[in-house]
Amino acid sequence: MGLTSSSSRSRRFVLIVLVLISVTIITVDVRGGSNRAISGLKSYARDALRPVRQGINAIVQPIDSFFIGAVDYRSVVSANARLRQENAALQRRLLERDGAGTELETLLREEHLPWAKGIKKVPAEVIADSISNFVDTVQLDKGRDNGVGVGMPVVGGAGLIGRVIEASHTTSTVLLISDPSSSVGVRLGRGGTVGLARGQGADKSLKVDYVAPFTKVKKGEIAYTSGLQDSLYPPGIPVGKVIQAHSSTNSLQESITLRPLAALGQLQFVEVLEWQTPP
Amino acid sequence: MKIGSWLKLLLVALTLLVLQDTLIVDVHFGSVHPDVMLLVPIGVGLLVSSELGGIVGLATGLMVDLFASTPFGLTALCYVLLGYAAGYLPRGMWQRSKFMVVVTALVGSFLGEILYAVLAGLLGEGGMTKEHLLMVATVVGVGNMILATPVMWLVSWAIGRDQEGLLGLADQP
Repeated sequence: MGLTSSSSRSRRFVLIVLVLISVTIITVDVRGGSNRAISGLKSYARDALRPVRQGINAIVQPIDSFFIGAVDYRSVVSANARLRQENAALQRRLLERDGAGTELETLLREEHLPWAKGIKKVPAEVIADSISNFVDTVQLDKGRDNGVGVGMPVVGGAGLIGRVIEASHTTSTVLLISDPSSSVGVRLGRGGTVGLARGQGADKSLKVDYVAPFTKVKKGEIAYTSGLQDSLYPPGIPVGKVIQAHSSTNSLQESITLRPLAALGQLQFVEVLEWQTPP
Repeated sequence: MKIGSWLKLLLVALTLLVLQDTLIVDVHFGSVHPDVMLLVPIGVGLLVSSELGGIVGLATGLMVDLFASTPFGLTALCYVLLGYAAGYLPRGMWQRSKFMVVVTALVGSFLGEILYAVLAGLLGEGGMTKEHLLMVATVVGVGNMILATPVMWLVSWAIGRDQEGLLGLADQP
C-alpha cells in the first residue's frame, strides 16, 4: 500500500515537473517575442535538415514517378508548374487590361500611393508544407543569405500569398493568407471600399470584415492590398476575387467572401518582395 | 544498455521527424496530414510507463516545435500529457493485442489533436472552426492508426529488453 502510494506520488511529481518545464518554455517564447535563443535554435535545425530533405526528395521523386507511371514525370511536373505560373501572370495582365488594373491605377494615383511594381523580388521555390496541421504555412528554399527577411510579403501566380514569419540562413517560412491568424487590409471595387480580409483555414475562402452594410460590392470584383498606414503589405497587390457579397438588415457589416487569386494549395514558384513596413 | 536504448530511441525519433517533415506532410487529405511523431510518446507510455511517456513526450514535442511555426513548447506540452496518459493503459497490450494498440493510436491521436487545439486556444492561437478541427482530428487519427504498427515496432525495438527498467521508470509490479 505504502509502495503504491509513493509510486503514485512520484508519478505525479514527474508529471508536474514536465508540465512546468513545457509551460516555462512556452512563456519564454510567447513573452520574449522573437526570442533570439529559440529562433536561433529553430534556424539551425531548419538549415541542418535542408540537405536531408533535398536528399530524400532526390530519392523519393523517381519512386513517385514510377508509381504515377509517367515516363518523364519530373519534367512534366516542372513544366506544369511553369505553365501554371505563366497562366497566372497572363491572368493578372488580363485583369489589369480589363479595367481592374486601370481602376486600381486611378485609385493609386488619386491616393498618391506607390506602385508595387518597383519593389525588388527574390524568386523562390516552395520546398515543404507545414509540419503542423494547425498553421497554414509553406517553407521556401531561400533565406536570410538570399535577402529574405521576416515580414516580407510573398506573391506568386496571380496574387498575394502571404508574408515571411521566420527566416533561417537557407530557408524561410511563409504564413499564407488563408491561415486563420492572417489578416490583410484590402480595397474593393471602384469606390475603394476598405476592409480586412481574414483567413479561414487551408483551402477555404477569405472573409472580409469591417465593410459597412449595403456598400456596393459586386461579385467578381478584385480586392487589392490597401497599403494603408502600418500595413503589412504594399498597396496594389491583387488578393482575391469577390465570390459572395450580401447585406442583411440585422447585420453590422456587409458579408463579403473572397477567393484567393493565387492557388495556395498548389504553390511551387513564388516571389518574395523585398519590402518592409515603413517605420 | 540503458544508454544504448536511449540512443536507439533518439534515432527512431529523429528518423520519424525527418520522415514527417519530408514525406508525411505531402500525404494529405483535405490539407491535413498524419502526425507520426505523436505516436512515439504514446508508444513509450504504453510499453514502459507514464513517467517515461511524459519525458519522451517532452523531448519529441520540442523536436517538432523546432520545425513548427506555433509557440515553442506547445507541442511538447501536448505530447507530455498524451505520453503520460498512455502509461495508465494496461501493460503488455502490445504483446497481447496489436489491434488494441492500433485502436489506442486512433483514439490517442484524435484526442491529442483536440488537446492541442484547446491548448493553442488558451494561448490565443485559435481560429480554427469546430468542423475543421473535427476533420483534422479524424484524419490524423485514421492516418496514425495506419502508421501505428510500424512505429510501435520501431519504438519497441528501441526500448528492447529495457522495457522493464529503462531509467528505473517502469511501473512497479
